[in-house]
Amino acid sequence: MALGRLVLAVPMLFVVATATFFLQQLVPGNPGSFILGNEASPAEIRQFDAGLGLNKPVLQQYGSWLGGAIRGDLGTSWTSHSPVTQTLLAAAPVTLSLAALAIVVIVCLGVPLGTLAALRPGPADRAFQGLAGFAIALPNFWLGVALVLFLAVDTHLFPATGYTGLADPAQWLHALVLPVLALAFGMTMSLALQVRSAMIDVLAKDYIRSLHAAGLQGRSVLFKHALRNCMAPVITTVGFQLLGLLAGAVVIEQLFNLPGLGSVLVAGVTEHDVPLVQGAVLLFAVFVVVVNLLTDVAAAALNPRARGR
Amino acid sequence: MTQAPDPLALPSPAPASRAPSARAWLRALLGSPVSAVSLLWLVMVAVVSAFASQLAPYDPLQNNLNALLQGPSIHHLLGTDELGRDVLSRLMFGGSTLLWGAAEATAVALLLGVPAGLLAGYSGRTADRLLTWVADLSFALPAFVIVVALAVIYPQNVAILMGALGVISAGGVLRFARNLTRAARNELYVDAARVAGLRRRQILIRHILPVIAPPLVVQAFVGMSVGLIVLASLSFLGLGTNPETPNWGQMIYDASQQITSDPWLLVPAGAVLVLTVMALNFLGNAVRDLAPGTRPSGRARQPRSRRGVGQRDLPAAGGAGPAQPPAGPLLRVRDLVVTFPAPDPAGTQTVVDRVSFDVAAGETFCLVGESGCGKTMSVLAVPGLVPAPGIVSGGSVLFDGAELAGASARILGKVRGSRIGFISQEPMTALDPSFTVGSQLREVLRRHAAIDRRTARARCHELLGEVGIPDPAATAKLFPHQISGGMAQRVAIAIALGGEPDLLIADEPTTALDVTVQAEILDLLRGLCERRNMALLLVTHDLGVVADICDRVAVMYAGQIVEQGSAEEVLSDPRHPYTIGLLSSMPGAAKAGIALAAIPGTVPVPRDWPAWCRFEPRCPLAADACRAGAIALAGLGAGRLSRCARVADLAGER
Repeated sequence: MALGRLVLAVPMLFVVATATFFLQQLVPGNPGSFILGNEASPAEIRQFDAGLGLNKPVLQQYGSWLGGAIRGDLGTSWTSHSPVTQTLLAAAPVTLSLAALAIVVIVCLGVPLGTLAALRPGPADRAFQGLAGFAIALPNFWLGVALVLFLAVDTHLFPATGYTGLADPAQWLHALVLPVLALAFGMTMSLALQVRSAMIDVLAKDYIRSLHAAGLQGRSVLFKHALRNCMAPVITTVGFQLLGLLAGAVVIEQLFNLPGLGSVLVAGVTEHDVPLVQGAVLLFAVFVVVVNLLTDVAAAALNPRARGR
Repeated sequence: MTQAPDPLALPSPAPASRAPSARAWLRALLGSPVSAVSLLWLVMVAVVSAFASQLAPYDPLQNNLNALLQGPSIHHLLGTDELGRDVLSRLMFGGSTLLWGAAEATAVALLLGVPAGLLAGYSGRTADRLLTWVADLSFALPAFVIVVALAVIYPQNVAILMGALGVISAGGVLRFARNLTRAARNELYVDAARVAGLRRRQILIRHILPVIAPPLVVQAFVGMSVGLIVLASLSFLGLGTNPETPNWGQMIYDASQQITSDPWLLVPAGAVLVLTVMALNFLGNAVRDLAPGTRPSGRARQPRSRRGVGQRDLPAAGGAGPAQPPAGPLLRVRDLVVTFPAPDPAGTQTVVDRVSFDVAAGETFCLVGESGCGKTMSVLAVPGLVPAPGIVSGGSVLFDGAELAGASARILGKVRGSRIGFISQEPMTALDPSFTVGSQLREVLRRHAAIDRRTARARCHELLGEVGIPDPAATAKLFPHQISGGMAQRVAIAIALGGEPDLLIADEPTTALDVTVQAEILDLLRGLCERRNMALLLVTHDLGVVADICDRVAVMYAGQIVEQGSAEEVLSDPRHPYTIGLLSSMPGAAKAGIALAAIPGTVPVPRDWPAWCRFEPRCPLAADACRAGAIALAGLGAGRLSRCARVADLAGER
């Protein structure tokens, strides 16, 4: 399964690389006029295109883009004229910090919450389900704005914007609290719902009754056997959520002015900087592939059937 | 992005029956207040969005510099924004772009995904593999990032951006539709249609599409909800729609720029967006729960309610009472009642009705009857394992002098495993699939005795050997899926023996096994009981098992014991028409040339149990006396009991 995914990853990245290259071919007119605008003289436009090698035949450009991408060279920005790879590498830690902290929050809160809801049928469970329905529907950017209003503007507990590097971990964490909360809230409840239904399913299984009948105590059955058997669906959900987090980061970074990959992507889009956009898409695709791979490996490791004899 | 319902979280596709009629379906859907309110809200949003230009009190783009950032008032019900524009009017106009965009993405995904999924699910391997590969490919794409990236070329072009979202989402729909089709094509009626010579296209459209339609409707709701959030996010980023046409995401962005001066502006647009997404999600869930062959996402369904039969109809406790077995009972069950909550006014439904029996030390006692008689619930009640929401609502379970009915978890925990062992019907599901056989057995052993790992391992191998597993050391290292059903049942027995119990409860221990294995397991149980002087409380529907292994037997029908006595006497001289029926429908009773007898009908569900003799509707001897009222369990002497109004007429019946 994991190996199958790995085999699939290569053509998938190839398809994404190819598709992102041809994004450039969709540019109306030619890149020079796209960037420099209508006031630019034809000579300026020609000079811009020639400087970036954009006047060569398409297939030749494709070949050099693909070759560069394999070596980690994603071309030159049309606006800042700096290497795209460098910009992306500077931004990646921000997005990864955000996603990593968010997934920690999601798992650490979502799993116990879902378990608790499964164990407490009745009003508490119904209230939880209602809250989860609301949390899942709440757009993260709305929550982000509200958090800024209450915890940054009104009370100055946390900064509203900005990012500090890992060099100062306390500052780093402090700056990321609100973005992580905005990003993690809905997904925590969504994971909790998944855990809840997986737990209810598992607790109704014959083997849980057999373990109780054999005299094992409730806590051992719950934490060792029931939770262990919930893990497969939970891992799959967490994998999906990591992908959702990468997408959510695009919006949240913009909102909190964090210099991550999402901000690079949006800046590239608004400034018509096609190479920057291409590079960002490719890097996101690499993340997706890696996350899918890790999910599969984890799911396989947890499932004795997939482990072979 | 806010997490939308995960499409893979949908129920596994297993359409069991044909879809109900559209009207019945809609009625069931609207039966729940949440779905009704959700639908009402969506209809309202759609209507208001469609007729915004007629309904809105103001022009949504009309600036009014005299009324900047006003709170709600008579003139502006939801206030005005930073340019003095009416918020309510902007909300009314702000839905249509989002709804159309989301609808476009959904339609594109379904139009591409469903036909391709049908094709992949119904045709040969090559097409299936190719299409699944494409689906997997699209599944591995960062969809939102790609849509954002496309905005570099097509800024504010909703049609293209949402169309692209639809194309990327089509892969997920394809996979979903394919799996549903695969499941549906294996249904018997599809086989029948194929054998009858229907064309593939006819089968797909007339037989498969209706079955897979409800889950696809769920997909449509999921798609709408995801589309709304994606487009609102794009608009919030300033990439989605033209700033001149207001939409809810754009309005939230505008509000975010005014949070210091007018936080109120966040509320209306946020609320409308959240409510719309919630309504879509709730309706999607409701449709999913209604789909045929799928399980509600909530807890296990409660058993059907019982109507008409009240407590007053219950018979008095058997006057004679079961005869005392000679050795003095190890287990003494008296007037045991198990009930489940029911939605009807009575509030409960009785599934075990005043059952009394004794099991002596070392004795093998059988509960026998058809499925649905309450045998299993009766024995599960002994160690306090009646599944929720069922409860033991009356009677007494005395085990070695201690009351177990209603006992605390602590007291039950002391008895379970160490005094009372339990084996369930399905050996394959009775073992935890995530742990090796040995680790489960050792865990139980160490629970009941203070032993170190090494001793536990030795004890584990010893026990596995005792239950007849040829290579205990090797088997202990295997996972449950790696052993056969018969082996799994032996392991389950070893686990049940782990605490050296005095009583073993076995619920249909051989039903799920091959015939040859059944005899081996019965031999094993008999041998173990003799060697360990262990009592066995066995549930079975097989009178052959009773004859083979039991000392005494109680025959159960519709929650009650209808006959009881020594196995030999009950089998050779039955005193209840139900027992006679069971005996004469055994294949062993068949005579060449004469059709095998069968008891007409089936065991009724609890709500249909008659207030008089519960077997009367199926009884060949039914007379007026049988319908006069509840029949008591009467003693016939020598430990025999029968619950039959015509017991006197039965003598010599066989």
